[in-house]
Amino acid sequence: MTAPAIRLTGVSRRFGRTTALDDVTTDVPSGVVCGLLGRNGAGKTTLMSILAGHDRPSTGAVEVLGSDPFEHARVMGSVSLVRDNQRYPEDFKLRHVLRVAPRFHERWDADLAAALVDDFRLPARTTIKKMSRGQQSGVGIVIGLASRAPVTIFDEPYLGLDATARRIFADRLLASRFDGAARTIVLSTHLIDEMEQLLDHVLVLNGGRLVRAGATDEVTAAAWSLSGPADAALRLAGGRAPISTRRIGGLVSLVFAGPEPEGVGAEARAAGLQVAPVSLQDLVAALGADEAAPTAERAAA
Amino acid sequence: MSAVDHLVSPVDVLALQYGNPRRMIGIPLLILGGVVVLTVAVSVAVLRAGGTVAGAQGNGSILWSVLGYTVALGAQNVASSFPFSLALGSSRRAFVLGNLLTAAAQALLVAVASLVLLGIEVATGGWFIGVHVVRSGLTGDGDPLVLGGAMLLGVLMAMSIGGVFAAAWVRFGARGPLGIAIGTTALLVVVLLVLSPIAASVRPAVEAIEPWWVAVLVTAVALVGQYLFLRRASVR
Repeated sequence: MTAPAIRLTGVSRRFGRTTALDDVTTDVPSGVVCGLLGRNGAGKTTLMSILAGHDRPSTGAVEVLGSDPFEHARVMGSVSLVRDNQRYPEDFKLRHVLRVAPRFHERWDADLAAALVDDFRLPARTTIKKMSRGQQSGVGIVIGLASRAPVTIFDEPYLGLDATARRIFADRLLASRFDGAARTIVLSTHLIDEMEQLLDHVLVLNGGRLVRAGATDEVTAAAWSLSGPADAALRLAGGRAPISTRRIGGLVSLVFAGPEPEGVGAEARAAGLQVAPVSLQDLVAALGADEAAPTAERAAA
Repeated sequence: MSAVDHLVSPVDVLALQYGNPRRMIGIPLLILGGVVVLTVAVSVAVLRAGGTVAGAQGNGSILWSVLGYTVALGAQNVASSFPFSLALGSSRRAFVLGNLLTAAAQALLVAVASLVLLGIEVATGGWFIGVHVVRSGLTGDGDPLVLGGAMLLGVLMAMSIGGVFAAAWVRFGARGPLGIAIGTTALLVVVLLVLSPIAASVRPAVEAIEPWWVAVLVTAVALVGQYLFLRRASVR
């Protein structure tokens, strides 16, 4: 069995009295595209920082490629993390980044970087800090994809990207899986519907806690929804506690954890209700609607 | 899947810091050249008004002008390059050592440029009008060893001071630089209070202190402080 690319054991991160990550334990297999999902403030950026060695947990253990990444030169050099609000050296333009980055990433693909710059139509004369939000996301994507780092982390790569650029990113990400550079990709995104097809594995965070982890199809298979007229739906739900309840007028949509119970589909149809699998986006939205979960805020922000 | 073989080295960080040569090389040289041009222009104006430029040997603008920018450069090299360096896979240790290399390279650049200017000043008899710009009493009055040493240590110290303030900001936010400023001021006040009653007896010892000792001490403390602040710093 292949060793996981990432192993987290009881990882918590606190900023003063705020808990950004709370006892996260999971593995991310090697070679997958892993979606890091959850609401704003769920702890995604904190987790990515810890994986890249940019931060370290208050308690718990982290292993990336078999070692604790914090100040581990070989592991840190194997990880690429460009943040959504990445700071660049003053007055750096794209050409400065493209000149410097290959020194840091031994697998840097200059041809791919040049192609991506064309694809995203990134301006050569503008300093990066004066680029638009979408252009800055493009720069981050160029660095991440061209680095071909064994562990590549994208923090909200879609921010500000237009539809064409988003499709280009998805296509390039897919192509990167067959370019011969074994790599694990972790990416956080709120555009789950667009990315779902690319995600092999997902981690869903809510209020700093890991609420779902596993292969994407297994995670979505472990939930189902019931929708239709509220009275009939709530009656059929009986004692089952939904993880989310959404009302629109007299209609209700309930999402339940676990596999769909046998026979419930027939009962639902007879009552004029619908039972359906839950998409990843709906599941993440349902899990994020759990009002009992504390909001993890980046106190250090 | 395995980690890469290449370890990010301090030389890679040096290359990052010099990634934009205009900021690191162009502007300092422009400042030095600008001081010469401005000083000569003012001197010409004085001469045309019937005045004299003799006695301008106390003009230390060649040193002060470049130090102000260098402190800012030292701060920028940590505040904005540290997050980017780590984003590219550098360790904190490699970054701090690379930053030390950068400060040394920058000090050497400014020192060599100053010596070149001194050479031109001597060769042209003071920019053809007898004015002293580089040949200042503050920087050895034309002694290339003193000028080179002063510029080297001055720039190294300025880069380190800028760096330690920025490192404190990276680690502790706005409280960091404020803490250093308050702490340094408090330390100086305490030293003054302790020494003032025995001023007469310690005066010879104080007078024996060479300026370059202070520069070396401040640089060393600032570099150690930079490492201590950054070695556990989270990226902001």
